[in-house]
Amino acid sequence: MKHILKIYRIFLILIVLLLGVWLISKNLVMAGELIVEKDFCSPLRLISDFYPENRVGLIEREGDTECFQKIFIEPAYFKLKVPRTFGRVKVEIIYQNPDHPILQVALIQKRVNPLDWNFQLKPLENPMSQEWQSGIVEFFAGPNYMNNHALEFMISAPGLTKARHEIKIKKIKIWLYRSPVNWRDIFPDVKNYLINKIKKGNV
Amino acid sequence: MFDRILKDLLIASGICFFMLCIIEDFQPGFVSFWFDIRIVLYIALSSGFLVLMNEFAFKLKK
Repeated sequence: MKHILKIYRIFLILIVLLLGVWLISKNLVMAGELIVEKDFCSPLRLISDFYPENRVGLIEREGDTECFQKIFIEPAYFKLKVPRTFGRVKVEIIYQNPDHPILQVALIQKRVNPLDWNFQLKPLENPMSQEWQSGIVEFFAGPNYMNNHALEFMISAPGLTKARHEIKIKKIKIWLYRSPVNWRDIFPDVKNYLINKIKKGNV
Repeated sequence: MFDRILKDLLIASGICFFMLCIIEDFQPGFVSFWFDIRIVLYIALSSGFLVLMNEFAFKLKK
């Protein structure tokens, strides 16, 4: 009986340890690539909804499977929580923009002072479309773009407010790239990750 | 024996849940992206409930 209880306890400890190791390895992004997707129907906490609230609409449902959010006043923002610092970011948005001729996506730089306002702005190739259309932009990221463990993006459409147009967005997909973790450097990398996690710095 | 198994499960799942919450900084983040923390919480709650019921039954028996 005692042996069974001992084995059972070892089994429980091993499960807890394995779960911890598995989660840390996932957070380290060993392969160097992370893909995050948001479709507005299911709540994904890593990618926020668009904000501020007074510039965007509530999440609307179209049929059973399609949900979207409207932008009335530009710029609107969204945030992506990231476990580490990434070097390159690719953003795909699926949008419907029947009237407005300019649509741009920006990656905002870290704000040291409240008045800091630096970003990389990339226009979408085909901004206008009656139907749902996909637009892809790519940015160089890095520690300068980490705002409190998150990357902050901006959707800009100059003149949108004045023209009283609106843009619907139904899906955001983000690819994040960094150099993969080498097995040789795994221990310094884990140590660095844990130290920075405790310090709440950029990992 | 059954009582001990349940108590160990309660302790392990309780510690595990607390550890995961600390890793998450007590707000939804990356752990909940990879893994549903509620599984651990449900294990802790159900084993805690069974431990309580067991204690209660034992006292009644006495």
